[in-house]
Amino acid sequence: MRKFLFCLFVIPLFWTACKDDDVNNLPVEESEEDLLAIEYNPISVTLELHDSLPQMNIPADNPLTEAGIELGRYLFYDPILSADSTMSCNSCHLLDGGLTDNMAVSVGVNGSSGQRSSMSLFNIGFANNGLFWDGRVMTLEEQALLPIEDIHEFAENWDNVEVKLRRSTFYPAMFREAFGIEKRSKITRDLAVKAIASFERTLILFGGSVFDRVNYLQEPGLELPDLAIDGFEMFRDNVFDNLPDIECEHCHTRPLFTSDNYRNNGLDEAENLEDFDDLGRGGFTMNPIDNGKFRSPTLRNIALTAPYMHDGRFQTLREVVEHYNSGGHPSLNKNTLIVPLGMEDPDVTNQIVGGDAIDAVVAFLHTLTDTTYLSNPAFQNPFEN
Amino acid sequence: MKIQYFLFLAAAFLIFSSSSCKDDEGQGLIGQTTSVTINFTAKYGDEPFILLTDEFEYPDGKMIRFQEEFGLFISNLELLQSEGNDREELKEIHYLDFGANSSPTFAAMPQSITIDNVPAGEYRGIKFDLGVPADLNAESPNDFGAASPLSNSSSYWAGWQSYTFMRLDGCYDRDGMGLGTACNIAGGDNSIFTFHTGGNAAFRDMSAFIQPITLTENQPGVFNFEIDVATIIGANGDLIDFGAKSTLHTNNVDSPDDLALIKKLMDNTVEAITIKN
Repeated sequence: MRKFLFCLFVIPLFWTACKDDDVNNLPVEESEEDLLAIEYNPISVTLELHDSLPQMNIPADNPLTEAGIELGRYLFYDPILSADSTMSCNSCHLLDGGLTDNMAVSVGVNGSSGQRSSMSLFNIGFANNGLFWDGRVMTLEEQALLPIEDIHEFAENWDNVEVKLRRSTFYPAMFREAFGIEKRSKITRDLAVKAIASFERTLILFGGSVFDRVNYLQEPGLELPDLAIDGFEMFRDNVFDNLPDIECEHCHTRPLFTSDNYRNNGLDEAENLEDFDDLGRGGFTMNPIDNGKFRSPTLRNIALTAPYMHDGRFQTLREVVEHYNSGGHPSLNKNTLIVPLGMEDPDVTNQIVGGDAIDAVVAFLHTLTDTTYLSNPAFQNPFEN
Repeated sequence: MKIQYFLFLAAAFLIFSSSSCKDDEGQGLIGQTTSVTINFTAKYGDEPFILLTDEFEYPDGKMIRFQEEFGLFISNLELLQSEGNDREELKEIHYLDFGANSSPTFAAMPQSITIDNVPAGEYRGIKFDLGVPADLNAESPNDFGAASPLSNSSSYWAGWQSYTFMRLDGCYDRDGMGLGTACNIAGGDNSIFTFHTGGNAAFRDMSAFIQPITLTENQPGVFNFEIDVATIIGANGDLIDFGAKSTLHTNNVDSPDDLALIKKLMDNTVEAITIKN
């Protein structure tokens, strides 16, 4: 009899608890199978990449689909991901800013400043040696998880985001179309970041710059400006030229103009390997040899992404090249290629028409500007259409 | 009689079973697989090879400090069958990266290559080459998937149309007054060297390391190698003239000076790799 009474009272208690959990997480109007009426027929997408571009590593558990990319685009632009609905991924990765925010350091909700500048997302799908300035995550899916709960960015938590997405009038259907979920409660952070990563993999920038049109597409009759040619010769270490080899391409390797590596490029003097205000890569690897190192960013569209360096300390490209020409500040692990370049030498300057050696490199960097993406509807904010 | 007949059958069965087992074991060795691990540790002479913080003495009495990079491609890794000339391919290409050698602890951690599903059996040694073979070197990072070390664009130098086979960066105390933290300030008293070698002329077909080994399912193989960086920079023979320039940089396979140095460094590296099993 006691056992019977136990069952009579305790089992319904568990039943009620489960129901309550669901009620807390889901809108009242949801029925268990409310998404099955929506067709799930994912259409796979194959990126059409120029032969000059590397292969993109797309995770087997997150293949590109039309619906996944479109969902990712919505999420990328949607401030629903932030605590006060004021910020989206786009807030720090603006189209007009070459997918940066053009600020020295990014500002999150409530005006909270971060420590570092936002990085361009162009061609980010090709990155294979870590993301962020310090390479702390390896995949775009992992990357997209972090800003949501960063107090200096979205200051939200994923549990709340999941509830907001489940309650949305349109996201459940989009998640159904992208991932085949059967009901709203199946919307998770893992699926959300998969979608965002899919969209980010489509942010490919190639073929629209003067440099690409001359060197890769080989458009007849098109050439780089003379000043830019001199800059390119110095950039790429052409030993047949009398101009100095400034070794940029060791870290900014064609065609992506990044080597995906982490370097100490002599921004700050350091007495020893612990003497960096921002440990950069070392803060993640915990190996002091990596202290003061930061990811080499792409130079594609670099003219659009001022200010420069991880902390936005340089306002112009000329300041950047002047820094490298100076040889930077001493520290134990400064890259050995960061040495005084002698670009101001009259023997160098006299060879260049239309400016000095620094002007020439800056002119070359401007040939990497490609604004064709601004008119690409696939990159646009869906909430403004 | 019946009992005797039964005992005979039982004995015959046992003998037959025993023989079968022996046969199975012999066949099983052929069908078995195991793993092979190849460890590489970098040294400078007898000292651990530590980047940035440790200084090492060159035979001319000057001090050298190695900067942030030391790494090299090895290729065509294979085991030599115990009989005949057959070889068991292990791995096509691998980049040994000693860039994390910042302390004795890190330096003691070998760069390891582990290959699974290697057929068990008797082998008489191991072989690999130094650098990127010409057929792979004719490709570029775009031709390889992200899992391949050859997909790394920073390992490729477009100006050479070649992968960089080896990287060794450092600082040489030219005036004997010490290295300080400012070794790479131009006009200073020290020389930077940035030895990045590449081009097909830098490839080295290395001799096999004869080291008999038996691999069984329960007995994986381990080979331990050391790379003596002192030997790479000629400490045992023809010294490198670090003081010739403030920056000594192998940056052009078409430059006779650079090519000569590249070849010398690669020849030295062949000598620098020794097996320690």
